[in-house]
Amino acid sequence: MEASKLPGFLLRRGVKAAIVVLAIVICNFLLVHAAPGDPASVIAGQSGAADAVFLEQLRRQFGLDQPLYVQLWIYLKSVLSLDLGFSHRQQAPVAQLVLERLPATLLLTGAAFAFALAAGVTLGALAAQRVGRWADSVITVIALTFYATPLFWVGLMLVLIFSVWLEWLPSFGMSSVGVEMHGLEVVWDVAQHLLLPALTLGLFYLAVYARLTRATMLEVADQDFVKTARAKGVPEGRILRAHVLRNALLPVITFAGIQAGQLLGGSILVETVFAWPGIGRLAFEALLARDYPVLLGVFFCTSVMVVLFNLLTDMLYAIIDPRVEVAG
Amino acid sequence: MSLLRVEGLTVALPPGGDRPHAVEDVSFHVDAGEILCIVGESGSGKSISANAVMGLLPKGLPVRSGAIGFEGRDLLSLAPEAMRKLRGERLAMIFQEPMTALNPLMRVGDQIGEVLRVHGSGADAARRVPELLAAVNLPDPAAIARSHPFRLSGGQRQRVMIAMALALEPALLIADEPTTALDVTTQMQILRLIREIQSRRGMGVLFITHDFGVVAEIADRVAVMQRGRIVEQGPASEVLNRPQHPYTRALIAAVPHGAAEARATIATAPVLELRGVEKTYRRGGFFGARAVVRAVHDADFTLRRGETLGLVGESGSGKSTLARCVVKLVEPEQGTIAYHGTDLRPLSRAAWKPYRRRIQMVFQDPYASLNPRRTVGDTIAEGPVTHGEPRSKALERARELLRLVQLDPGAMNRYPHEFSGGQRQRIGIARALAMEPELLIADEPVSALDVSVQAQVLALLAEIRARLGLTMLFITHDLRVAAQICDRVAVMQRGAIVEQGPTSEVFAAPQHAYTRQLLDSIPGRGWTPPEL
Repeated sequence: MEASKLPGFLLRRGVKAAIVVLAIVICNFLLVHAAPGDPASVIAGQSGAADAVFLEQLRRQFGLDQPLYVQLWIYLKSVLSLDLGFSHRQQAPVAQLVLERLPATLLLTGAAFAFALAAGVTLGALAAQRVGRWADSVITVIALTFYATPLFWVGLMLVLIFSVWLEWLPSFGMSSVGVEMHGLEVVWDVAQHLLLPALTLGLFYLAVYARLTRATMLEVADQDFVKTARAKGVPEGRILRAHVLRNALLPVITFAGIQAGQLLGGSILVETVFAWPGIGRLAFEALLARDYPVLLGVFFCTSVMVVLFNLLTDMLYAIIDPRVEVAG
Repeated sequence: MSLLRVEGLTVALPPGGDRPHAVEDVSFHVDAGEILCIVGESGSGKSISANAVMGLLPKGLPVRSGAIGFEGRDLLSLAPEAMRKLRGERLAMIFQEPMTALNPLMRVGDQIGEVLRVHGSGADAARRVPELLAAVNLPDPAAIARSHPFRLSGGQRQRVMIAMALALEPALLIADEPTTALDVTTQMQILRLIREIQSRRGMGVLFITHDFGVVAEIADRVAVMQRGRIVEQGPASEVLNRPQHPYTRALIAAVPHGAAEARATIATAPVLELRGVEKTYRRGGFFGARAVVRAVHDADFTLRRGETLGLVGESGSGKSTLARCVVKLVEPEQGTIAYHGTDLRPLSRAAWKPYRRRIQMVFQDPYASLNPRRTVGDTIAEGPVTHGEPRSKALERARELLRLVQLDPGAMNRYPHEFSGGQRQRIGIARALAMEPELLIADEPVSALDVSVQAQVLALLAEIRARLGLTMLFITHDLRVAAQICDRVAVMQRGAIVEQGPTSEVFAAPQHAYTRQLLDSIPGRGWTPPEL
């Protein structure tokens, strides 16, 4: 991509992304309101005073007595001014709740993503290089196992092995409770807590990347330009790195872009299993409590992330593959 | 002593093939400063021989016996690492497909520089790369060096490949069909370039081709291969003008000679008249930048009953688009496509249907244009059945058609992959004829075929056309083929017909500069195949 085209590209894609996010916000709102039960009835039920007058009062307080389109309009206006509303259950602004939890989720999913991509591509490349030999078979079996095993089960088994039997790693939370720590100690502590959930979340994608990398590398290895490189007398190692792997990574990047978005959503399960204080658990709790503003806030946040990751992928693609014209 | 001496080379084929050896007891030599052409049809083993010299045979094709001597060393007994060092340094190779032979993600200059780098002279890359690009007559070498391959045309890429091959001044250049994928005018430029560089540097060149025209253009000596064996070998003038082996004689007899004989003028009623047809491709829009390609414009022609009109031109000239406009595979924005006076362009799909029967098409790629999961009989009968003919009658007719295209009616229940390219093209023709069309549009029907098969298919088309009184629009990039089969030709360039007229007149006295250029680029123009 030529650098001069970048600002125009970003502008066009920014406008499109904004339209997409707006559409998602509207869909989310309508979906959440289509679900049975509303916050007023949950609060009233929990407070034990469920008479009709109190319920009506609560509904009026939350604006739930208004027609749906009015509620939507009010919601849209506040979202556009970046006000995600107020959670009456937690007595805190939604934006604050989400922002408090976001770093934990980004850390978890980022670590899982980096691990899956690095290990997956490496394993895939090794398998392709030794195609048909035992190393290839071993990698294929490992990849298929992770691909076929449910996430939560992998998580539980990891906890069983590394926390319960071996007592090497903590099994839940993001940091040790009741211990005073400074500087690098904190980093080390968080890293220990991070390892199991990140592994759990990353193993499935590792399998996908390993399979994809192996397949595309074998495909690329048959192409004419690889033969050209051989005819030039390029050593095998360099052929693999500079010619085969680089071209084989293009589909992997496409896939990684899609999954970078999915990782945020997929972390709900893992955050629950490992009691990781991220937005996945926030969403889960909000759902149980019918805490609409928080739920919508989480959805808004994740959809913005997905759109952002897509944009990043496209830019990355355009930088790596010169043939891709950055079209709006 | 010869630069390269191959003796008794035998390379095995995997078991279960149609023959035990890919090449068998092949011996030839190349001296410094000469061009040896190995000619043969697909599957004759010519590429295998070249790859064996480079040490690039696929794993499934082991060398069984023989010796390859190069500059006094036996290449077959060299260790892989020693062989790697020779490749690119003393032995270089260029390939058929310039579109795929370069790494799409690497700048052209880096790819040329890589040869220097892996052979230990990377320090010179910055200076040598532009020199090399200039040596293969590429304009603005500095800018080309910074480009990625997709920015370059096929001819430019092949020049880059040649520059890359020449980087370390190898003693032997192996060129495996280097001009087959190129347009004729580009082909001629590349052939001249190879010839010029070869004589300037005194390299030996091993040139693989299937085209006797190319042989006539470039070869000092010729070796003819058939089914893995060299059947005839000798100086170019001897083999071309006094071929001895029956196979060589057959091949040379099949070469379209490029001379057009005068044909009677056809003055029947027009079947198809195109007036003012325009097709423009636009890309982008909404937010993006627009790109506009005028694929077809100023391309009026009239096709009379029983006539064959050739649309000739290079790739991208719009000849296929124009033909596809006629059958509504492409929808032009403007103009009239009058078929017996009815304008077909504005018709809806349903209104078009009756005309589908009468206008049929034969496609270029005999491998891709037949559904691999349908039997040949079903494929041929499908059209008539869709148009309401009873199945049994359609199948009966399919059997007759197979006989007409000289295939065994037993082919009915077999699948396309069981047939060779030439046989598949016959099936494609039978399928088109099943609809009993009046107008046949043949889009490069023989360009994917070997020359002997090409000659058979062309003869078949000529015979069917005479027998059934077909009118034909024949699209080709090969002027020699056009000369053989067309009553009139229309020459297309950049979407427009620049010249049209009776074939013999256009060939004898071309009016347009582009037509002259095309005719001058026919390989082997100076060679008249002997009467055999």
